[in-house]
Amino acid sequence: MSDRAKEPLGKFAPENINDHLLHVIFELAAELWVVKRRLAEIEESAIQSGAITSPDAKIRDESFAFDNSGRDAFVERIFGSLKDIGSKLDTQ
Amino acid sequence: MSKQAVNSNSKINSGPTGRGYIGTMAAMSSYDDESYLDFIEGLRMFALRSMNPSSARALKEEINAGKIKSENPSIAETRAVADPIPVIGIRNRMLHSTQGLNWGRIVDSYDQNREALEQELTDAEKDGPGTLRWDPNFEYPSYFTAIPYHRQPGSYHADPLGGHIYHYGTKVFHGGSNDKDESKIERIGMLPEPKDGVMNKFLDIACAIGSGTVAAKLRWPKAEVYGIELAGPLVRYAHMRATRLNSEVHFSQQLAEKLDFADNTFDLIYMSTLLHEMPLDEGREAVREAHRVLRPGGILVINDMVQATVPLNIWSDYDRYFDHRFNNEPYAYNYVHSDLDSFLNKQFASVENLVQGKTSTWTCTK
Repeated sequence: MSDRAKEPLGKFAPENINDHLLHVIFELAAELWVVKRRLAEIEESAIQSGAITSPDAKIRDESFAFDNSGRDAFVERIFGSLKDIGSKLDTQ
Repeated sequence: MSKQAVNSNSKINSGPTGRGYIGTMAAMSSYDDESYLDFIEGLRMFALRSMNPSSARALKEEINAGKIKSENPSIAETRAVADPIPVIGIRNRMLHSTQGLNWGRIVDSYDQNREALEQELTDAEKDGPGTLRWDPNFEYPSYFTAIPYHRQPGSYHADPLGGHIYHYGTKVFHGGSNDKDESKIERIGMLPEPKDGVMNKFLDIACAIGSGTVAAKLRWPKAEVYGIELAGPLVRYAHMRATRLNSEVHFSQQLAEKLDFADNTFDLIYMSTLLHEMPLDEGREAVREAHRVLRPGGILVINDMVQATVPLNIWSDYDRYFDHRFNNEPYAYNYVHSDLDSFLNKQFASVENLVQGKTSTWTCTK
């Protein structure tokens, strides 16, 4: 069992924390946008210099398949603890 | 500059979005859109594979603790217990969010190449080897236009790209299991043939984008294969897609409850996931119509949601009602409580019902 799974989730934050969490999500979204803009700028420069090909220019053929195992592991790592919440939130 | 122009020298068919094809559907217009939807698909699969069993267990614990006393509780009784359960609330949020994010990104992405996508529908209309009959002024029944099914923006009938959007949406919905029609080919491969071995005409009722219809032509290459669908954008897309796959299928826009085929025409009729999307009376009429156009000895196969059991599977009932409440499937809950078996047994000479998980397959012989 990983340390993440051992984390005593639901133990500490009271239910009325949602309002604060929303504010944190807004801040994170703003920072995500900062990263996206910077990455786009770097990508454009790299394409113009011939260093890379844009992923957008990769054409899929009909046999293309996604890497579901890597994606599913990523989702599980982030959201896996939610499935263990069960029928009660223990905030004591 | 369009992305098609960027890729014009490629030997691979870059398609209407300029990014080629994933299985039989046009790729998203950008790598970011494709990645976004890949993540949404993964999150939906997590909800189904992990959150669903956890939610069912949590509800079972509350039932065992005496919170629900009846073996056949009303949905209001079940909701009073289930809705406040934390893991169920998170599951519900996850399913609802993934559905909305799914549709929103697909529409935004295809919108960037709307002109090219609409043009391919028009260009394919007179192409073969199959045929297409549809009416741009088709009058839809009010039960159909009342809601955007499954929350798809524009529903199936109001956006010319409804077929494209539906196809990519169902890719995410099914976790990519049908990208190359593989699950439809498998399902069609399991259909029985009439006992006399005569298999000349096949009809797919409510064929949507025609993946089952094309699969039928693969299985019975010498048979005449027909697909009917109510929604214009879906049946146009079905024809365009079949043309690209070089499949000789004859598509037409028709109401399932008012077919224009003669009596006793078909040897085998397939009706998949239609009845739960119709009001009960119209659904019953659709079955009667299928019976009318089926020849004596012919078979109607219905694939759809299982009917409610006695005693009730309380989690399944709650889950079904969630889709009824939040996924724009207003007729589904009544359908699962409609005792379809009794109705079918009155219509057909013999009926067999094979239950597999959430799905029933009724094999009805005339």
